[in-house]
Amino acid sequence: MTFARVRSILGILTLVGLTAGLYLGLIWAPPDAYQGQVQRIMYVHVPTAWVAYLAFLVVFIFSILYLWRGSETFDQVAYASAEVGVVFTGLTILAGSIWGKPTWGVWWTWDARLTTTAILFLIYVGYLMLRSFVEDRSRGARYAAVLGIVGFLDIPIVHKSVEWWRTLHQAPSVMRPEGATVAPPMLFTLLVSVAAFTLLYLYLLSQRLHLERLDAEILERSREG
Amino acid sequence: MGHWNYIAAAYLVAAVTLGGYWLSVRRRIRRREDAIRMAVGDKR
Repeated sequence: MTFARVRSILGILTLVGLTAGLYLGLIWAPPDAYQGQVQRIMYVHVPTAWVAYLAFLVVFIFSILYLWRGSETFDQVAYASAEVGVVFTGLTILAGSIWGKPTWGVWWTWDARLTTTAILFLIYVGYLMLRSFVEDRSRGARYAAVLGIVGFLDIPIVHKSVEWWRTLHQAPSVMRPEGATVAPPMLFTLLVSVAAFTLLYLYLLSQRLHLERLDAEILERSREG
Repeated sequence: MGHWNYIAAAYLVAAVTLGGYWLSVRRRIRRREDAIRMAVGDKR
């Protein structure tokens, strides 16, 4: 199966998944007993946060592989995933802010979870800036790989921030040792949304990786010519 | 009454951000493909 065909299949699956997630999140799932309808923002906010974690995990793994093996393909995957991760982290912050206003009364507060997430966003914006500012491609790739590995250390801090510090942000309600505290229809909707957004991440990653390969091809041709 | 304006805003922001990003990647791909096609044409 060709890479183009994989991208097309991923695109179709993503569209189906997002349509199902939209229906379940906006119509099928019941409103929350405490927050009411506004809790439906969770079906966007939590999956985007999950994808941001996943994207930066991919950056972490492929940065290590790049420094270890030196293959350009590993660097291309890390770079592509970092860009997609920044988009999803930005969206997590935006959706969280829109959810924060009706529930906390403020768009933003310097809460531990929000602050560590903002730092995470800035670390990977820095990663992307490093890639575009360093002219020597392989040197830029090496610097970025180090930042991609070090930057990942913020993810456990972001995740644990609601337990380590007193915060406005709610504690985990799904990934807990005692089991999920979310009602089954809500949990099902959340899992479908997480799956749909994961497919979207894979689709965007495949597209962004294709772009990296085209860039490499242009660079190769310019060296030959 | 709920807070449907906030819900609509969150879903709309998600659609615009992700859709906009997807379009920007597609546009960049198309530009690169055109550049490669032109380079191949020049060589011929």
